[in-house]
Amino acid sequence: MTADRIYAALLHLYPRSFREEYGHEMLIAFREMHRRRTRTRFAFWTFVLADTVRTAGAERLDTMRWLAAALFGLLVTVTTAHAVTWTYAYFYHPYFEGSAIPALPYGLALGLILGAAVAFAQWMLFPAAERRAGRWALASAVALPIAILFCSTAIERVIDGLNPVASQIRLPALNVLVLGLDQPRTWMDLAMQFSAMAVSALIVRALMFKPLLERRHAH
Amino acid sequence: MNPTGAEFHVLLALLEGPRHGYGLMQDVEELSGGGMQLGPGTLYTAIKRLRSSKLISETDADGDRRRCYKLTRKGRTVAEEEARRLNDLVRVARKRGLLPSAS
Repeated sequence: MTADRIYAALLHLYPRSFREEYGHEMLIAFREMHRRRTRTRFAFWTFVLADTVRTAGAERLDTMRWLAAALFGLLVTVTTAHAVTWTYAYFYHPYFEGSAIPALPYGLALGLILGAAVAFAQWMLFPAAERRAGRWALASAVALPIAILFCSTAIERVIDGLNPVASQIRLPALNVLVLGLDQPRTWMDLAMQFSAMAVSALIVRALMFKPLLERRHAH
Repeated sequence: MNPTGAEFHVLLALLEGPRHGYGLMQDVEELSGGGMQLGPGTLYTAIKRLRSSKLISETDADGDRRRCYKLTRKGRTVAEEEARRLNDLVRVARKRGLLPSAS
């Protein structure tokens, strides 16, 4: 097995996106380094192995950070969604209609307050590299489900108030969310939260990986 | 952004003009008097970070079609700030008797 082949195999320790972006260049640099090496064979390979294992490990960890940040945001989502739902149901059920119009600004304001609080916590807890992921996880995982929850409820109630007939023909998607709000322990409530989790994870992944997908060099 | 030791060395090497990967490895070794040797892993993870922070950018490939990198204006500013910061630290070290005075 040639040195090139060994190093090409070692490159598989790096995340795929990194390997696709820099693997070819790294192999060229390695080839030159190997050709002009002044150390003993043992010292050379020890250096190369240590360099590869250390940096590949760091890169692997780096690619996992978006997930950690997303999970943090999602944990907050699930907790706050439950807290909001239960508090809301406790105060307004069965006189839910009275809260129809205030629900929209209240929901948005609450979302903003929660967003600011979690963003501040992330700013305090995470180093710079993770903050970007954290912000997006927060935006998608916290604000989105809360806004949907409150907006859909408000729209549903507005439809009810404007037209009693229309209130009998409930839009399935909105109705599902209202049911989720009234019965927080239903499977729909959980499904909504898990959907938000998936969406936020995808958004964060797409945003974090964008620079790596830019292949600007034509071989 | 505060560059790491390896990243700062890469920025210093690029002050002389665009370089490809192996050229950077050689320059860094020479600049540090052999004190810092970058392997391909360390070099390209540094390049990745410097590129994402827009401190360096890719330039036209050289004759061997290897990717070359050049310093951006922002990269130069960050390198200057880092050099100033290190200079201030050395001044403090001198003042505290850790290093002999410059005179």
